[in-house]
Amino acid sequence: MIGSFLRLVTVLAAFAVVLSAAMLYRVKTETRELKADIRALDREGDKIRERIEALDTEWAYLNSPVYLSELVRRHSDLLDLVERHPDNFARLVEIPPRGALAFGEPE
Amino acid sequence: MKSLFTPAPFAQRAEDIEIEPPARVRKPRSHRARMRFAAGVFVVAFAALGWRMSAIALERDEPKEAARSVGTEQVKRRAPLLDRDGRLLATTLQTWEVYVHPRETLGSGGANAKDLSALGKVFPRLDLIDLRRQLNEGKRKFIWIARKASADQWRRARDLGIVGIYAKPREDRVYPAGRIVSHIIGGVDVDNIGVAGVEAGLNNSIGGPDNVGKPLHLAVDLRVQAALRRTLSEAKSQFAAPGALGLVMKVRTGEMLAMVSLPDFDPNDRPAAPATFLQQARSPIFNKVTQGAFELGSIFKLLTTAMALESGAANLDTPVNASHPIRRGGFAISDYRGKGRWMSVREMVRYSSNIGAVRVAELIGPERQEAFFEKFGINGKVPLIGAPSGELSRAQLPRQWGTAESATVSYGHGISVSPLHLATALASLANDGCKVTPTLLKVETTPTNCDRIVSSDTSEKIRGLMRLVAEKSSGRNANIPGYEIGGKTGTAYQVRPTGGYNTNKRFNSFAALWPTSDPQYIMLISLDDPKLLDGTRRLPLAGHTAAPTAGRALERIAPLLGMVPKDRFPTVVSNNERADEEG
Repeated sequence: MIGSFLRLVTVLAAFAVVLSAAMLYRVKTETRELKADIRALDREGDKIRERIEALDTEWAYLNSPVYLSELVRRHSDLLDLVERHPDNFARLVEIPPRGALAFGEPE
Repeated sequence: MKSLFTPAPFAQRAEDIEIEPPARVRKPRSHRARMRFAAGVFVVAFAALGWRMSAIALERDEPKEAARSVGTEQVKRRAPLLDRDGRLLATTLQTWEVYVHPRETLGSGGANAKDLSALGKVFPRLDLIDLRRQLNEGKRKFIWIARKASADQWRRARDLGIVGIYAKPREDRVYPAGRIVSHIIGGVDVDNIGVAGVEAGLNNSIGGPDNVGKPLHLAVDLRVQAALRRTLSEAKSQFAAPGALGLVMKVRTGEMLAMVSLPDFDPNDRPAAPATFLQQARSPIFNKVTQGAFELGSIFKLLTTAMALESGAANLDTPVNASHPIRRGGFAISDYRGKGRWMSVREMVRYSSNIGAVRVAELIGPERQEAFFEKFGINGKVPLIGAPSGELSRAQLPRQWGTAESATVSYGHGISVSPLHLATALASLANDGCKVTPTLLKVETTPTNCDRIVSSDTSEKIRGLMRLVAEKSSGRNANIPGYEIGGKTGTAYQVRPTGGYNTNKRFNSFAALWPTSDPQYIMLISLDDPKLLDGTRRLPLAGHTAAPTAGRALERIAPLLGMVPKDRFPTVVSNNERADEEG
């Protein structure tokens, strides 16, 4: 009786070990695949980050005062921009309505 | 009963009886061996599985590999630098060094004109004629195509399919604002280690693993910096000055909104350090604001007056004798267009009387004067947070602080300081008398504690004097209406390298403070040996050179800082009003 019980326990234990080993193997394989995915994503992220940094730098260069002032100087006839000056401050009521200066008074 | 336990005398003794053991029923030998073998296999299998399971369960996710892949990246990358509003000033980019092996190219038939033309389109700065010559000669092992190529350029070059073209990656520090912020930023060497400016002063923070990717906000405002640099550059041309410098500092926090030293350099292509000391002072990498030491002239009269007021030696109405030139220690001291009369301390500052300043200094005494200079921070180096200590010059004080030295120091001669020294002392005077520590880093919260060096009353009086000079005296050319500008001019002869003064060369400065009723900003501008080329015979004094330059800078900078002129709005006439006027 006891012998057959022990035999059953042994068989069940062996089965449990085999089952858990198989599950562990599956989890491990999935983990490895996920890690590979993460590494690929990291590499892609690094590439994108580098591209963003390059674009940020280019944007900063395109917005640098030296570049902008050169653009303004070169296209002054078209842009007609002037530097900000203390005289440019005005009260809201003093600002003419939109379009009034551009088109003048109707005749 | 007893006889039952007595061995029978006739009976055979028990030990003599040989009992035949029962015959053992042996199992077949082969079955036992199989069982042992199976048990052994099970034990080994269980042990192996158990060991492996525990190994897998306890194993971490390849920590060494993970650290290596991230760590090296982090150590290499320097933190980006931003201005106070988040504009990018410095960043690190991966670039490519593209080169070609001529022998490989020749071995495959050489690069034809079409290939080279395509390469020229990818790298516009490439000298194609020279490259073709070198390629056809095949003498060199390799030829550089580009030292700093973008990833896109390298990809396009590779896709041309020319045999023998290679590239290796490198990390480069890039400064999009270029020379505008050259002296603040400084630069790095080939190993990406800071060698000057903030890059050197904060090298450990910028390059440290704790700050990877964390941008560092500097105090500088790129717009203000550009406006100041442009104004100084125009003044340098207008007055044919070999050099110019300027700074704008926030009075309350000591933040350097702008710091310019001309000539300057492009930090993307930093020039080599000059070999000799004399060459150093003329080099574009020399920061006149922090490294220079100049006699800054009459601006020191503000410090002399503050000393007199603070020590109680005089007040603004105390009369001093400025009626005739005086001699101190063998030096004749006179005034430029002097009034030739007794005057008050207030008038001494207003008319910038050297004789009056000497009289005030004599009321203070050399010992107290020296002690006051120490209080103002004009003794050793003035600290500038964010800058390397080696870049800050020491104040060159008189060796013996006697009567003659005290006399010349009172009007800013015989004492050489960096513009940073003087601006910091003036900022402290203006900041209600509380000491200001200049910084290149953005300050998030205005300090509330006060390390007092002069009283609030003295601070207010000095501000009033500066306003007086800007309104009615030599600072008129800097008095932009609506901003309550205060100022003081300083014209000093330049010291000859061999000793003595060169009376043909001046160092003109103007210190501006605005608004004087609630001081927010201080600006110091200096021009090295300016000349007046307007055809007049006027002497190139600070009032004609540095003051108008400061005025132009103020006109540009104050609106950028969002400062609205007080009681001075433009008369923008609406159409209705115009119609009324015309009608």
